[in-house]
Amino acid sequence: MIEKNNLKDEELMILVKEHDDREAFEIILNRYKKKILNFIFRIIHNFHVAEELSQDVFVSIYLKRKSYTNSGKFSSFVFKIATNKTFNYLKKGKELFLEEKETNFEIEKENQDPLLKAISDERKMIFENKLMELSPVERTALILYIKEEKSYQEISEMMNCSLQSVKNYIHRGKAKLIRLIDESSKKSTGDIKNV
Amino acid sequence: MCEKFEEEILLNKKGRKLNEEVAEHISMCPTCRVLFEKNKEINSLIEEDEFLEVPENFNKNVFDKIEKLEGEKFEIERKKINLRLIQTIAASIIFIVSIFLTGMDLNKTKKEIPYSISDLKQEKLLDEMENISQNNEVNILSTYDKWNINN
Ligand SMILES: [Zn+2]
Repeated sequence: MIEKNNLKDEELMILVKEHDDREAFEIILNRYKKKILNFIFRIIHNFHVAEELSQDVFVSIYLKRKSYTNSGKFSSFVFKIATNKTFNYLKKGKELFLEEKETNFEIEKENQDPLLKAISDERKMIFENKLMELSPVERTALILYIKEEKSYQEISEMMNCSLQSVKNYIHRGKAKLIRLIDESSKKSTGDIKNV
Repeated sequence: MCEKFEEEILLNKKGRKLNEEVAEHISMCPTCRVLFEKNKEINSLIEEDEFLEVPENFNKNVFDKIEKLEGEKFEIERKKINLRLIQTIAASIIFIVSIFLTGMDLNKTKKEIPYSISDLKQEKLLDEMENISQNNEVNILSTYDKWNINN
C-alpha cells in the first residue's frame, strides 16, 4: 500500500487520471484549495463567488482528468484553470480590463463575510484595497509573478497573452500601487498635521 | 536617465538578481534606491500568506458537484446508448417487414404471370418482327404505287 500523502502532485494526478482515484484527488484538493480560494478572492473580492469558482476549478480538474498530460508544473496547470475560470467570470461582467472605482473591502467585511474578519491586520487590509484599484489583469499578473513565483512564460500561458503584455501588466501594476500608497501616506500625514 | 532603470527595478522580485548596471545605478542614485525599497515592500505585501480560511464544507461541495455532473454525463451517455438501441431495433423491424412485404409481392407476380422474363423478351421480339414486316409491306406497296403513278 503506497502512502499517497508522500506522492508528488503529478503522481497523484496520474492516479486520478488512470484509476479515478478519489483519495488521490482529495489530497490534491487539500493541497491547493486554500491557495486557489485566496488567489481568486484577491482578484474578484467577492467571497461567495470566489468560493464557487474555486470549487469549480477542482470539479474541472476531476472531470477532465482523462485529458491530463504531465507537461509543465502541476501548480501551473491548476492556476491556469483558476485564471480561466476567474477571467470568464469577469468577462461576463466586462470587468476584466476595468479599474475598480471604489473599494469597499471594509463594508463587505462587516456586512457579509465573517471569514474576512480574519484579516485583522490594518496595513494588509489597506494594501488589499489598493490592489483592488488595479485592473484584474494587472492584479492577476502581479499575484502570479510575486506570490506564486511564476515565470513570464508561465503567466503568459495562464493568462493567454504575450510575454510583453505580462511584463507591462506587472510594471504598470507596480507603478500604480506605489503611486496609490504614496498618495495615501501623504494624505494620512496631512491628516495628522491637520489634527 | 532613471527612467530606463524603472522597469528593471519594478520587475525585480525575491530570488531574481538585478543586472549589474542597474545595481550600480541604485547604489549611486537615491531616487532609484527609494523605488527599489518600495518595490521590495510591495512584493512582501503581495507575498504574504493566504488570509482566507477555506470553509468546512468545501470538499463536500466539490464532490457533490462532481457527482451531479458525472451523473448528468452518465445519464446523457445512457440516453445516447438507449437511443442508438431503439434506432437499431426500429431499423431491423423496418428491414424485416420490408423483406417480408417484398417477398409477398414477388410471389404474387410469379403467380399472375406464367412465363419468365426470357419468355417476355421473346414475345416482344416477335411483336417487333411482326411490326417490321408489316411496315415493310406498306413500304413496298407505297413504292410500287409511286412507281405506278410515275409511269
Ligand atoms: Zn536613478
